Amino acid sequence: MADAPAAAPRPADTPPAGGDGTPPRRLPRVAGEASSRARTWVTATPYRLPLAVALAGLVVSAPFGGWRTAEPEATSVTAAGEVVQAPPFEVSLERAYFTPRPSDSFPELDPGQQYVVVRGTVTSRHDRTVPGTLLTQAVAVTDLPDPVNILGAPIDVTQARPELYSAQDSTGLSRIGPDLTYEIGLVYRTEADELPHELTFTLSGYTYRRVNFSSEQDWRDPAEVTQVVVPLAPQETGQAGADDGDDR
Amino acid sequence: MNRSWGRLGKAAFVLVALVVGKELATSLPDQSASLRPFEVDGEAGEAVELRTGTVEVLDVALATTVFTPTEGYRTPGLWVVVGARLTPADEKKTFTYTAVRSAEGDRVWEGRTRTALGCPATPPGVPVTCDLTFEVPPEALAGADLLVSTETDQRHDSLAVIDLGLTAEQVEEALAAEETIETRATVVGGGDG
Repeated sequence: MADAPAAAPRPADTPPAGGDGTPPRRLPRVAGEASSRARTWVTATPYRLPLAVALAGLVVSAPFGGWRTAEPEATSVTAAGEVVQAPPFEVSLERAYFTPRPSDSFPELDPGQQYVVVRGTVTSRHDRTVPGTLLTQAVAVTDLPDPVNILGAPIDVTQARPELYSAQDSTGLSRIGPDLTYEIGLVYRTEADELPHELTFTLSGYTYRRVNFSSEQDWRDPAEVTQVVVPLAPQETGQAGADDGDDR
Repeated sequence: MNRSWGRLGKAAFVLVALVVGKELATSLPDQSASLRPFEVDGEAGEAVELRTGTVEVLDVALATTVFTPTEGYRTPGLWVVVGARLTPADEKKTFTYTAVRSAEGDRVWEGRTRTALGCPATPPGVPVTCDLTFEVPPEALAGADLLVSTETDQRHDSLAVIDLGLTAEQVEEALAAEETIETRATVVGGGDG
């Protein structure tokens, strides 16, 4: 059998030409080579694979913001007196007043200082008693000028934590049992000469979850629920302090 | 390269072990069940033996206002005032944990909701008689139990569960009467309190 004439070898970098004279198909070949090289690079060591995945994730997420800081969601505003669900509590803040001394139950303050009492209600919906500090940490005043602590020392407004009182009898409320709706007074102290006509509060709710360290469940992870703006006025004459009827 | 893949395999093994461990930990019986206290049932008027002492409920009263020597306390619910005596067994003890549990067992109201309501610890064999006070919604009182422990942590320990013997009629009467109660002075030692 006669040998067929051997075809002339084609240089490796010469793309195959179309039989009908169309331009050579370079793009699929380039993509194939790039894919092959990328695969070789990624599998060369085990550590390149997660790096490649992370880089790809960054590239894919770039159109949606990538690592840019997300805009915080606007906190809703609730009308004064309306009940807010702030787990485990249902809270309403109704009004506030300022006075040198709400009632005889409260100690006299240093000259130039006065109390700011915020009236409202609270109900706990947890199935057992929770500490009152859970509520006082969930209520944050944002614009009380010149707050002072219980010792009369100036503090930043972000550090201002109220004292919690039962408004029925003007006594401290240290724990809150389930399904009991208390009329409350949240008591702040300030050394401001002039006070605004309203105060803004941020209410936070908690999540009841297992605490990894102790394996017990507790209310953790405060998250802002809403803001409440309450009117602030001087204490009316004859108006009891944090209490509406101290009959002791 | 084989060595590198071996390292990756070890890392993957550790990760899988962690995942399996977590799944096991969460699927096994809940610790709140496995560590729950040993409940010792009793009724008002009878001695209930705990690991750390003996508890006896002397009397139970309901009121809308409670007066202590220093303060007066109102409540949006009803005050449950339980006269109780504790005799420590081997160590100095007091009523460290006290609560009222609803008849359904799904709600618990602990004591000391207001400041300065406490009871002193006494040495072994020396009884202390106190008024224990609780704020409870009226609708949860019928059939409620008193829970008593001398320990802050009751897990794996004894817990007295004493039927307070409260009825819906007693609750309605207390609400209608708007009664007030003055708490008794704490008694350390013998006597009926």
